[in-house]
Parts: sequence; structure tokens; C-alpha cells
Amino acid sequence: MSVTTTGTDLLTIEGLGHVYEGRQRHEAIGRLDFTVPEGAFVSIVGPSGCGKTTMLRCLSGLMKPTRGTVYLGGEPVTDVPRDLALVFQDYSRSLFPWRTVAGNIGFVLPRGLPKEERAERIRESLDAVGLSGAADKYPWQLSGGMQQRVAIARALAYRPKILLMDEPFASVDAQTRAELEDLMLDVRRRFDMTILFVTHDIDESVYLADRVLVLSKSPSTIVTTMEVDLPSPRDQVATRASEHFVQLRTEIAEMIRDQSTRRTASGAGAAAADTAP
Amino acid sequence: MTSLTTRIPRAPRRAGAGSSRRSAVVRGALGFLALFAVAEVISRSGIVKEAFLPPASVVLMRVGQLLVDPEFLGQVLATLEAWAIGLGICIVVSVTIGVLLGSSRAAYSGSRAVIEFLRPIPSVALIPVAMLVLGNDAEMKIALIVFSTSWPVLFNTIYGMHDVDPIAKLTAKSFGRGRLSTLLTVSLPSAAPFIFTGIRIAASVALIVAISAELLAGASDGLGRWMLDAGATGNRPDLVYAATIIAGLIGLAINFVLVLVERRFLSWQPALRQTDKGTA
Amino acid sequence: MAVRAPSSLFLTEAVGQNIVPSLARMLGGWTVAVILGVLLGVAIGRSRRFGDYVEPIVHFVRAIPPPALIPIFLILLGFGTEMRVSLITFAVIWPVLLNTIDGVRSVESLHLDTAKVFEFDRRKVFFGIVLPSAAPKIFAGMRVSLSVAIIIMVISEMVGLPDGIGNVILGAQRTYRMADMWAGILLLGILGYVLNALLALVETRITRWHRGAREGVS
Repeated sequence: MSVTTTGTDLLTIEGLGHVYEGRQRHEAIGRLDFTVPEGAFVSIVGPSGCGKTTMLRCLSGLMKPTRGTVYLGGEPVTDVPRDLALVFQDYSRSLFPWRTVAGNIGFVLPRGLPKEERAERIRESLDAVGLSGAADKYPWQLSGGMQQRVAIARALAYRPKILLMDEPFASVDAQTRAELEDLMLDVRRRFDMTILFVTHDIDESVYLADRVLVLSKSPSTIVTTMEVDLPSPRDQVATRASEHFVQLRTEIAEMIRDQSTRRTASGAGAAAADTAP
Repeated sequence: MTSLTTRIPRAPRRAGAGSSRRSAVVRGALGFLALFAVAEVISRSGIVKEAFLPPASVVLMRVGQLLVDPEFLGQVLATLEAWAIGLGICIVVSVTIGVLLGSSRAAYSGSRAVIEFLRPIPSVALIPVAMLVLGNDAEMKIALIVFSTSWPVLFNTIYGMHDVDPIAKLTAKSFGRGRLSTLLTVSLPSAAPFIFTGIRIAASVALIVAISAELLAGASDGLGRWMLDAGATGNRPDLVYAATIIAGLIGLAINFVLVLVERRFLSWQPALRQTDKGTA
Repeated sequence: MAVRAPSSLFLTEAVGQNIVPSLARMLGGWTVAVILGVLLGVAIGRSRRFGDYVEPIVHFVRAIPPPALIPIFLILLGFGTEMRVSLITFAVIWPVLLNTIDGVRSVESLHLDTAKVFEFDRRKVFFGIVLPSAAPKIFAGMRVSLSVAIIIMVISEMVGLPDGIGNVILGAQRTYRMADMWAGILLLGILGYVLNALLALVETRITRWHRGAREGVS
């Protein structure tokens, strides 16, 4: 594998399940068990509405799951841990419009931080996402892709051990998306960070990750875990054209398709069995 | 005044919405009870003299008595009559003018300077003028109400007319509708929510102006006049407090009726649909 | 009782005797209303429980037409400044209060989630997120309040002790000094216009991001 994992698991998920109670009871997550090794780039792919966002909210401690436990570095997650940062899909609602780009980044740094270090961290993280010139702009003066870069820079400046990303590139155009994907690979190398990346795009999940977890429709469970042993550094054209890449993405696509047809088929089968004498 | 039109979003309620709504009602009732108790204690203990603040229990009793007192109710009716007539005239006049100005760019830009000049003049400053011209009868009250309530309705109507989706108008035109027909079937309905917002503001302003006129201009009848008599002349603070509470109840009732009317006739409006969903 | 030219109303001792006290009372009452309205609004908006207890009272009290309180305030606070300032405060607090509650409650939930992710403490959440988010609505409430304040100022000066612009207008009418009466009315219109313009200026400076974000580039 092309990854520099230490072999120890940074994030461990045990028997995670979540049910939304209320007038319409909805079981979003069935049962999830998986681990994210330190230094790994793991992506989770699944059809839309499969409870990916619910899962990330549980993993990050924003929401208390109905069942199961999440461990970060061996400690059970009850509140949002210090070592974790989350990048939301909706950058326009996550950035603070009343603060400049630099202000948004500086805002999440601890209050006690010396002035020089604060400035240095802002500079470094903006540099990492290629936005050095935009420090004094307001988020709403930037394009969607640039806003998401700011959100990523903000998370980087916070120096988390693990970065969770919730379909971060779902609402940008294809060209920008490719740029941001490469940006993530670069950032990961520079900051030696563990990343858990949720997406509904199969190609994206394979292109970015060392390991892909395929989720079923809700109540979601893990259908399969696939190691991605594509060579690094990856290239938008060459990697995506490689036979191995195509083979991996096809396998996952088939799995997702079969999984959804099997479910409807078994449903129909059960109905038939009921009516059988 | 504009506060009447502000909708406060309810704080999100999570699981078990039914039980927490019940507890909200209980808490609200407790809040009122606490207020009542504090007022009662302050008065009974003599912290504030009874001549200034009668015990809350006495005031509540007076509210009950006043609500069945035909003479008092007559005064309330006089106020409400002026309120209704003033508001009615205002709606007819302002909506008509607003539609005319709103559907013609030329008429609007021609009249804009005059409107902008008149608007900032506080209507109550005209009480002396109205007294001078119309004496201190019902006509004076009504004239003041019409003047002061015309602005919100007029502006909201013009604004609503300008806000009509040009494509909707073009669609009507492409189906062979004439100008008048387009106005009645497309422009007016889509401006209706704005017009109604203006009317809601106007309704509360009208009540304020009616009572002001009665209090300040020495009108011969009305709730304001009655309160002045009970307070200054009659030296009966308990009656003044009771009448004030009744004034609040009237304000609440007017607001409530307007909300009902709005829900009934403008239920298609997105903003209303959302609030309905939120509270359902 | 000579018939004075209208200019004398503005330029003579009337400025000190009437206009300045009027303005001082109006701005004083408005300032108190803004402070109380924001504090109470934040408390109601932030605490579900406190809101449950207090909101019904708020809705009842604000339904009382402010002039209906004049008799009570005359009894409680006398005929002078206290009565007038209190009446102004009472009448103009509602737009600020309701807009503050609204603004505080409609803080973007993703902003609050973001705050949790980056471990903001309560103070940082409040001053860094809740207040800035609510600021545009609070300012809108302050503007409405200011326009109401000038009306209530006039009303409050038509009762009680004889001073203030409202009193000058009423007095001019009673003594048939038409020019003075109209001058006073015109003065009120100008005052309302200028004050609103000033506040709009402050507002655009403080909440510049708000318009920018709404008109957005994206």
C-alpha cells in the first residue's frame, strides 16, 4: 500500500446505529463497524439518502448515536473531540459571512495563541489551499470552489489529527472538483493527516482513497471494504484511465447496483412467500 | 406598531413536541401568575401606594365588571367604530391609489416626490390641525386614522405591484388577457400578501391613533376619553388599570382576527406555508 | 402674545427650551428601549424555558396601544420627563425585542455546528456568532423603533408639563399661530428623516457583510 500508516487505528467505530424517533420513525444507520488507521485516507461511498450525513454527525460527536460507540485515539467520543475537524458540504452556510477569510480561519484558533503563531498558521493554511491572496476578502466575494478551500484551510489551521469531510465537493462544478481533489491529496501529504471522506461519487472515492467503504441504503451497513492499491502520486488523467482504476470503480458500481436490486428483489420474494399457501 | 407584523419563529422543539407544547402553556400560565402575584404583593405591602398601583386582584375584578358595564362598552364601541371606519376608508383609498401608482411607472415617478415629502410627518403631529379643521368629534378621529394608516397600505401596495413577476403578466397576456383582466387575475393576487402586511400594520396604528386622539384632543367619547376621565377627574386608578388591560385585550383580538383572515385567504403564500409547517 | 415668524421657533431660545429636551427624551427613551430590548430578546431567544415563561406576557403587553398607558404613567410617574421617557421606552421596545428574539433564534444551525466542531466556548459562540448573525435584524428593529419614538415623543408632550416640540405645536394651534404650528410639524418631519438617515449610515457600516452576502457573488 502506498500509505504511511503506523498500523494503529485512530478512529474505531463499534456497533454504531441510529434511529430517528418521532412521528415517522426512521432507522438511518443499521450497524456499522469499521476502523480508520492513523495516516490513512478512507472514503465512504454510498447512494444518496443512505445516512452518510447522520453517520458523520455521530462520528464527530455532534449527535449522540442510538447504539454503539465511537473511539478516537482510544477515547470514547461523547462531545466533539479537540483532535477532530469537520468540513461540511454547505460551505456557504458554514463560513461566517461577517468575517474575512483570514478572520474565519483565525476565529477557530485557540484564544491563548501568540499573535505571530496565529498569523503564521493563517498564512500557512491559506498557502496550502492556494488562497494566499484572498486573506482580506469576505467569503461571499469568492466563488464556491474558493469558499470550500477557505473551509478546508480553516480546518487545517486548527491542526486536527483527523479530518472528516461530508461530501465537500458535491456542490462545485466538475473542473473545480478535480482541482479540489488534487488539493486534498496534496494537503494530506503536507500535513500528514488522517482523512475520512464521505461522497456519493464512486470515481472520487476511488481516486482519493487508500480504502473505500461501500455503504448500503439506509438503514445503512457496510457492504464491502475495498483496498485501493493505486500508485501515488495520482493523476487526474492517467490514474483515472488506468485499467486498475476502471476495474475498481466498476466493481464498486456493480456492488451498489446489486445491493439495491437485491434488496428490492428480496422484498418482492418475501411478499410472494407471504401470499404462498 | 410594526411589531404586530413580525412573526417570531418558534424555537426548535425536538422529540415529543406535544408534551413540550403543553409544558409551554403551563409555563406561560405560571409566568402570568407570577406577574399577578408580584403586582399584588407590591401593592398590598405598600411598597407602592395603592393610589398608584391598586392590587392586581382588584384590577382583575374591575376588568370583569367593566366588561359587562354597558356604559363602558359604549365608549369602547365608539373607539372601535372610528377604528373600523377609518381603516375601511384607508384600505379602499390607499389600495386604489396604490394599484394605480403601482401599475404605471410614469404615475409613480410623478407622485413620488410628494409622497416622500409627506411620509415622515408623524400623524399625531397633525392632531392639532385636525382639531382645528374638524373639531373634536368622530370625524376628527377618523380623518387622523385615515391619514396615518394610509402610508403603510399605500407603500405596501405599490411595492407589491412592482414585485409582480413580469413573466406571470406576460403569460396572462399571451393567453389573450386584457390589461384589466391581467390586473385582477394576476397582479392583485400576487400583490395581496404585501397589501395585507400593510393592512396589519395599519390596523394597529389605527387603534393607537384613535386612542391618542381621544386622550389628547379631548374627543367627546371613546375609550381614551373614558380613561382620562377615570384617571384625572375620577381619581380611580383601579379603573384606569382595568381599562388599560382591556385595551390590550382589544389589541390582541384585532391581531388574532387578522392572523385568521390571512391564513384563510393567503394560505398559498410561501412564507405562511412555512410557518404553518413549522407549527404543525 | 405676539405672532412670531416661524423662523423664531427654531432660532430663538425655543431651541434650548423645546427642541433639545424633546430630542434628549426621545433618544434617551429609545436608547433604554434598545438596551432592554436586546438583553431581554437575547434571554428569550436563547433560553427555551425562559421564553416559555415570558413570551405570553410579552405578547399581551405589546398589544396594549401605548397611548392607553398615558393615564397610568401620569398616575405613576407624574407629568414630566420620567413619564415621557418611560412612555417612549415602552412604546418602542417591541420592534427591538421581537427582532432580537427572531434574530437570535434564526442563527444558522451550521454555524453553531461549526462552533461545536472548533470547540468555541459559550462566550465565543455568543459574541462571535449569535450577535453578529442577529445584528441585521436588531438594526432593522432599531430603525422601526426610532420612527415610532418620534411619534410617541409628540404624543407624550401633548400631555403633562408644557415643554417640547409637541407642546409647541399644540400651543400654537390653541392660540392660532398657524405659521408656528406648521413649522413645528415640518420640523418633526425633517427630524424623522435625518435620524433615520443617520441610523441607516451606522447600520450599513456595521452590517456591511450582510448585504454583500445576500447579493453574493456565487
